[in-house]
Amino acid sequence: MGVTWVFEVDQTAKSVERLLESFGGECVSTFAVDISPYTPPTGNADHASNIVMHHSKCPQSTFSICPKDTFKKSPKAVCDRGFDLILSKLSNGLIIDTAGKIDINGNEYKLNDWTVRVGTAVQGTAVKGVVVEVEYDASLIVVQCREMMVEFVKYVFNKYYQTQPEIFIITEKPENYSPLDTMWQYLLIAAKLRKKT
Amino acid sequence: MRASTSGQNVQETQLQTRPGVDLVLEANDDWKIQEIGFDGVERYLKPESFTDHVGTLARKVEWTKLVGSQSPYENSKVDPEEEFDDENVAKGSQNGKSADFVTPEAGPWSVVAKQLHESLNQLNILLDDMSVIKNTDYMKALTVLDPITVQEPSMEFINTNRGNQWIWKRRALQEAVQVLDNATKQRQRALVNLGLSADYIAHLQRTQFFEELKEMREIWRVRKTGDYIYGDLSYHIFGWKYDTPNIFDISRRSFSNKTENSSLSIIEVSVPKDLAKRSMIAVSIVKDEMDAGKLFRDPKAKKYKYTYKENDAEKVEVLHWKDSLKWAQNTLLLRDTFSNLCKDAIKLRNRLSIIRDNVLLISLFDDYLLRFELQWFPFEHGEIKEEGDVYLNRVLREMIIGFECTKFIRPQFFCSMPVTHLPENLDLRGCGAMTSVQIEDRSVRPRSILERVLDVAAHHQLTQIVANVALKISESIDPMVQHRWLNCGRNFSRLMFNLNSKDYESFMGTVRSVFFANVSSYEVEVEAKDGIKIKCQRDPKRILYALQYSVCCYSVSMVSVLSRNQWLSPFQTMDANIYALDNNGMTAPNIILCNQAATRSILFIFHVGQEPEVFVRKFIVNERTSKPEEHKWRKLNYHKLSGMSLCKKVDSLLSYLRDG
Repeated sequence: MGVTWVFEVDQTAKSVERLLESFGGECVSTFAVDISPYTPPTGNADHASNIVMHHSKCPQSTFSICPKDTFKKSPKAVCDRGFDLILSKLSNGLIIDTAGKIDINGNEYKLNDWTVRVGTAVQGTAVKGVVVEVEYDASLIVVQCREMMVEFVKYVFNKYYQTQPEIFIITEKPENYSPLDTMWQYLLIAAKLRKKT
Repeated sequence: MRASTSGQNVQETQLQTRPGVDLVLEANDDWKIQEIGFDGVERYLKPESFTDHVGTLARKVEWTKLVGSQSPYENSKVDPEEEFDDENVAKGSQNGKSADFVTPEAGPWSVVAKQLHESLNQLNILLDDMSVIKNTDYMKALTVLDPITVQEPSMEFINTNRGNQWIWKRRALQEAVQVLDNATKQRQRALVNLGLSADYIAHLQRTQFFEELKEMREIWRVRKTGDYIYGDLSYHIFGWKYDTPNIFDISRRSFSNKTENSSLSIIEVSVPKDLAKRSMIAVSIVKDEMDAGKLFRDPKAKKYKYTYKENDAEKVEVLHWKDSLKWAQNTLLLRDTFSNLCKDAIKLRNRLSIIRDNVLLISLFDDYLLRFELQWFPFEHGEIKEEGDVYLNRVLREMIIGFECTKFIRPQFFCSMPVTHLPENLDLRGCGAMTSVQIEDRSVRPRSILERVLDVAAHHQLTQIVANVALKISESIDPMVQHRWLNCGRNFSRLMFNLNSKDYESFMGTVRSVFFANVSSYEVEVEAKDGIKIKCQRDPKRILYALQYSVCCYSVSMVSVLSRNQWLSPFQTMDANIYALDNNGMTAPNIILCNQAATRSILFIFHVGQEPEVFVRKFIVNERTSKPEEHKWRKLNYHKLSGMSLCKKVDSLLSYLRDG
């Protein structure tokens, strides 16, 4: 569990994996992330939609974020997998939007303290893009390691390092990083991917 | 609703000259208002529904014209002439012979006819009555004018009257019946008291059977399927019950001889043949050495001959079910436990184990082995001698029962939580976003019984070793060593040692005179001072060495305290080193004192486990100019020093060397 940076790449997953292997990375396992929006049933647009996410790194947890304008204003929660079962009972208010569900599946590489997960994002049967998640296991404090993360991404990929995630930019005090911040990054990327054809 | 054509602004002026058309839209058929209540509620006359309409129409139909007044209501096709009575024939002919459905005209004589009809009816009735009276014997018709005389029966008449005779006979018979009833009751009672009646015996047996069955149900699980009653010998609380190999049949014993007052229970129990023996598991710690004797069973030994012997079926039947069921269940439990222990032993890769002939030998540590033996005894009454280590036997038994009573699967809660093997305090794993690595680290896995018994047995053996060593060191009288167990647990114990110098307790104030020995399942540690631990693994010699070393350190402190005594003989401590080594490389704490006059130095060396050595020499004033031959250490004979204890000797030596 550490500070994580998720970004989209414009190369294939295989090329990224080869790149990581060239740096000495070792493929340790696979990972899967899924992002499912829950929308109010048709005709009832009173309340906002909710996004429910799962990450294979935290196998017993479910993440739920209701995206509003900013990260700080969006109600977020971490819960156990029973949350999905409860949501299925609330079908009067929220129905899962299976068309909008995005799955990211891929491999996990380990490089000393760094864990890099490379996955292909798929919506339904259409491939939407490739997403890379870089995690620095040694630290939980963003202000301490964001510069190093930028350096790492620059060193390994030599691009994508200019647009830092929101949490890196807005954090000034040494606060703890939480898995919800990772899932927020996934949420934004998924929204972008949905718009792509 | 009034609608006036709404005009737009342009046309408004034009339209103002032409009046609009008044339109009234009304429903065609409003429900008529029956009344308006005082609260303004209108009550409507409901229009006719279909059935009502049909009803009004039906009422308008003249049924009589269709059906005819003479015809029966149901079947209008019957010939109306057949229904006529004799009396009505004339009436019928009077009134027209049409068989159709035409009502007869009522002529001027109709009233007369009716009355005639009625009277004729009454006549009919009278005739019927008379015929009834004539035919029945017991009804006597009286004329209207005759008075009813109650005839008093004469005595003669009473006596000869048959009815009376019958009454007397019946009464007599009833009295006889009463007497006979009494007689049978008395006889029954007599039979009851003697217990001879077969019914009563059966009844007694039946009640006894059910009472004993009730008693059995308090302890055992009993079930009835059809006519077949059986019970369950398995001991599991959670899990399958009534497994076929573990059930016993219950039947009623048939007593061949009724008068025999047998001590056998009415319930006969059939225990499975393979469980019809008594068993025990003996746990003991043995040392693997040449003269350990036979660690396995000697197949020729007499007491194990039982295992190959068949049970005597008759003897088994005679046993009371309380004993036989208890023994059989114990046998089942121990058999399962032993097989589980063997399975666990095979899984433990880094411990060697041997299983043969119901004996499991598993290595404990060093040369010690833990031995489990499953013993079988004949299925009869008698005391069984408990073998092996009693403490370990009890520990094993407790663990078996604790294992059975532990719920390893968490029951389901209200909000559909999954049935998991994990303990309840891991509930944070979802909400705390724990990674799989964290979940694995925190999960508690149940340890097998064998591992737990191994820990307990290893600790047991180590405490015995430490206790022996403590006894050995308590033999020293100078200083006096006392030991006490502070903490005795299954896997960890702590021993405290107190040192005492006789007659010099007052000096002991600041000297550390207490040290500890910690015994765990794997090793022994001696805690010297300030938490410094000396690891002694499992070697009794090392433990003894560490304890003796602590005693030496204590002696050094005592010497230094004694030397500082103002009243008796103040000496200065020049150097003290408890980590010093002697010529052999063994630790030998030492201390060098110097007297006030700076003429003499005294050196004490405390060898571990040996007598202390005392050396004296002239004090070296100037190290550079001193000649080594003038300042040789002279060894003093420790025994010849006056005083019995070390402190006394030191005291006298110091006072002797104070000035000189």
